[in-house]
Amino acid sequence: MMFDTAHELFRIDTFSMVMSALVVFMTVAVSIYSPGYCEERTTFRRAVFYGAPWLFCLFSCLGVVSGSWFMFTISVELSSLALFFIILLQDPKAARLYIFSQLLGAGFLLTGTALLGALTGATAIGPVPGDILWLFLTGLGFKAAFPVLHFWLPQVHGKAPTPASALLSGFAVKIGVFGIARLVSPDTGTVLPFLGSVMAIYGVGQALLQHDAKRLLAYHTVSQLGYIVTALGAGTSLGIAAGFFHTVAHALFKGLLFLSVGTLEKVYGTKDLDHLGGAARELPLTFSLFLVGALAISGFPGFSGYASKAMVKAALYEIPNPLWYWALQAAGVGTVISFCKVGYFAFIRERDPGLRPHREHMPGGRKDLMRNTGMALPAAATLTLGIFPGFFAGLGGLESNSLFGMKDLLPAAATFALGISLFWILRKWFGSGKHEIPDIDTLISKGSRLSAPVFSILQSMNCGLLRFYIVAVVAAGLALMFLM
Amino acid sequence: MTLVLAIMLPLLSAFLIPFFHLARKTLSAGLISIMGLASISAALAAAYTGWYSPAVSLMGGWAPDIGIALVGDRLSSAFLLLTSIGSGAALACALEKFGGGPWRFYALFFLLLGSMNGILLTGDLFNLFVFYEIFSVAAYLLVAFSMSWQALEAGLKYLVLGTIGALFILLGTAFTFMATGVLNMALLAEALASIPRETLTAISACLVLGLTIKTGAFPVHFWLPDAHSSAQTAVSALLSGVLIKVSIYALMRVCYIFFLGTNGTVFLAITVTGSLSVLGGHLMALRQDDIKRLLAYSTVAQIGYILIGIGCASAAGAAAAVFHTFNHMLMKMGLFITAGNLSEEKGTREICGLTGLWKSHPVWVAVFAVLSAAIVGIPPLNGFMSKWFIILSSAGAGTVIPALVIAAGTVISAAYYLRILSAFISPGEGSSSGLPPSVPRKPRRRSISFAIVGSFALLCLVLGVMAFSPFFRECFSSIGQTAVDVEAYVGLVTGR
Amino acid sequence: MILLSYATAIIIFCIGLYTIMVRRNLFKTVLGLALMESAVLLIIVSSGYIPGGVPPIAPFSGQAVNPLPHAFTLTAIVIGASDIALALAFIVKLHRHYRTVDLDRIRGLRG
Repeated sequence: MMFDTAHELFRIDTFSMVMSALVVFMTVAVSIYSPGYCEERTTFRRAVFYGAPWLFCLFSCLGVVSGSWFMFTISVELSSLALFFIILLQDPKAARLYIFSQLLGAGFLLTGTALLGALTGATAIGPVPGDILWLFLTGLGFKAAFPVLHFWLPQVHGKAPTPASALLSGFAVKIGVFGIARLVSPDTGTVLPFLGSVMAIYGVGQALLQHDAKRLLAYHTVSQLGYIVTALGAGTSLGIAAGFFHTVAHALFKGLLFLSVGTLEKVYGTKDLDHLGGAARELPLTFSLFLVGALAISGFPGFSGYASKAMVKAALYEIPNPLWYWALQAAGVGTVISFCKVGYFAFIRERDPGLRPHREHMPGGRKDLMRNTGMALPAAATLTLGIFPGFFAGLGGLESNSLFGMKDLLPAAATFALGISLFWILRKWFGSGKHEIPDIDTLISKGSRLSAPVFSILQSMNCGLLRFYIVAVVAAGLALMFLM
Repeated sequence: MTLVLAIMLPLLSAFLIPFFHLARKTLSAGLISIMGLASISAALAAAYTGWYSPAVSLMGGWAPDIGIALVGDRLSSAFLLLTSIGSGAALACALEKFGGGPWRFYALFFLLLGSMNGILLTGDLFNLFVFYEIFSVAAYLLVAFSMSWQALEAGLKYLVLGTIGALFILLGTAFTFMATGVLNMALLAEALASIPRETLTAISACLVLGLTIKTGAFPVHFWLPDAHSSAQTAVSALLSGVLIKVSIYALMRVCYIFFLGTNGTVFLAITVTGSLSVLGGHLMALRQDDIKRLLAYSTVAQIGYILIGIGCASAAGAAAAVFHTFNHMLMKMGLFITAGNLSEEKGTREICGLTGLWKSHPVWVAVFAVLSAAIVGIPPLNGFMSKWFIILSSAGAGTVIPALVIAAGTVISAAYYLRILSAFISPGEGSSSGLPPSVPRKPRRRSISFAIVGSFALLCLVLGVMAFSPFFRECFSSIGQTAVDVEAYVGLVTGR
Repeated sequence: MILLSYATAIIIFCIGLYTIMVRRNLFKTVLGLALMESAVLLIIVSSGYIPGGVPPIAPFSGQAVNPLPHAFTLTAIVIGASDIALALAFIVKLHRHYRTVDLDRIRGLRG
């Protein structure tokens, strides 16, 4: 019981193969991009910057092919640790927040695993009994950014170095989703679509209000994860395949978007949408790559996001409740608006005259070339998957042509029309001042003051007074006596 | 016979050291090392005997119901191995630092060694108390050995609280004797099953309270941070690494033999105490600025993990507790020796003053990082594995709260060990405190200490990986089996 | 008769406990510890009493009381004495630093 038997050490199927291929692809893209981004001075720090993504890749691959929850948790933990080191280079506070949240998630997962072992005698990866499901969902929820448990995500994605953000959004959160996909059973059918819809709407709502481009993208990660979780919640094989398709598609285009914002950050020294602008003229190639990502995430036909969202919706037709479907449609409109916002404010309108581009990062240099090459890989994959979605459609038992029917094209067009016109009406409002709704992370940092009384009680217990110690010992003795 | 030697040789050394001092005026380090080697090999021989052929040795040939029996089984062997490694390491560090000079120190050290082996081997409740008192007196003196006011205050508080603990143990022993008329633990295991419920409650409350005070678990932990942080480096390492473990052994042995079949509430109490220790110890450690005090509070928390393992009242729980005991010995001794050496180099124990060490002592910092990763529980190091086993066994006992407490504790401990490591790595040179930059001293060579600490760090990795191997699993589950198999123990002692 | 002995032991134990919990003088704390210890020893000695028994000294006639508790008590007295002596030595040394034996002022180590 203490260990898993050998036959459940690995579990390799189509999904884990696809996920492994995805993480290797993303790491290659990021590694090509990194030389254009890295400005670390010492050899040690550079080694961490270039080496940690590959460690992450290794442990993630181990995680997705592992056959028991125990191995899965360990591998995922180690992959988080690899990312922790690369975030540590840029922002120790965000790095600590990241590792603490991940450790807590792993604690829940391990507790769940232990209970699973105690109940069933095995810890093979797969659906779990309903009464310990909450431990698994909480543990994976820390990774997959379930509502409330997502407190770490915007801050960490916003502060991390861009290659780390791309990997975080591209793959680290997807491991959580992968775990949830392994959990899918009739028990999860009620809770997952609800959580997913809440994530989709809430993420997009917060994203609309952000001015920091990376934070905006981070909230979009929450929103897109909502699509995936809803699809998984459908519980059918089509739902799971749709979830996987959107996982892969989202990894590619969100990685691409993070990398393009990273380029802006390097060239202009800021990622604040209030100051940026005019990048379309100065960085045409970056703009076109950004456009690929933005169109894909908004679901424009011909890009991967369209096909995967169409498949998610096809999966939702199969379950009776139409509420989830409309929630995702609304989130789709929000996505269009917020990417109009990024495109308009960062690339099209006139920028803050005080902002000057750094010369060594401008097109023509080696750094720009490395960055654009790194971004071209996911962009190409996004286009390919958008035009030929046959592989993933086949996993769900669909024809790839069926994704391009009028039933899907019309809502997509309507979403686009609605989103763009709403943005045009609201663009003055977006451009003016800060509109913020405090998220759970500010609430948590305020709430941490509540722990002060606990500390003061503990502090006053260890007061150095021997007489108090003796009284405490006697009290403990009496308590023990009564307890027995 | 080997069992008797394991107790007698260190006691003899402790007795002889003053005479050597009187005769020669100076004590050579070589002589001490020979005595140490002899004592430790005697203990290891006893451990070997106990492991492969569990042995009973009746003192003076008296029958177990009247005389004192020494019992060596797999549980005692495991702990004998632990104390041998730990006290050997502490002795080597002390020899490197002090040389053969302070004869009183070594006399106390051997007294401690002998009484520890006595506790681990005895099969008699009153004899356990006697050895416990010898052990405690030596420990009080070692804590106060440097005679600074901190050490004296810590020693005094340790003494008063320790004496209260000993009184409760004595009271429990007295009640037991009044209720049954025997003191042999194996015979008591049978006799306690048939005594009135109220008497048993009084006995278990007294014994558990006394032993819990000695282990330093949370609500009665007050002496532990003072004592462990005020003593000298080698002594701190010995206290946190070995002495506490002997108390853990006593608690384990007494509770499993006496109360496993008779009073299940004892184990509930131990689990609750353990969970409180984990939370309280970690939270207090988070607030510390003094690195040694922080490590001492971390010990309180780690004791909590072990108690949770013991509180499962199952073979798996006992095995996990013993494994964590081993791991904690390695990790905490290593951390104390490293922290002690580094803070001596910098001349301060405040964490915010321990900066720039990555530049000047990179290997020490690297070792510290490995050890703290192990104690936080980063897979696949040993700390993670033993915590996982504890979680597994507590889940097997049907509760989820201790496991969640352990998870929360992991996060808190990650917070404070990261704080130490980031201080070590940060470059800040003397400018923060406003003090004049410290005079560049020639770094002292501490090759033996480093060899010990380095091999402990290596062992942390090796044990973590070994925990996957079936052979290793077999060893530890047989220890757990021995701990909870009361009938086998009774059979071994009474010869039935 | 034996009940009286137990009652005495309990009373002495409570006096000792009260002393260590309430008195601020370190010497009194040590005295309290010694009192508690004596009480426990009294319980042990009394437990060996058999009504009508004679002292268990070598040439005796009739039924002797149980000698085992006496042996324990002797051992425990020695141990207790060493504890008390050590405590007193610590107090003397500590007095040189703090210039007081007031327990509530000896609290340099805390937090």
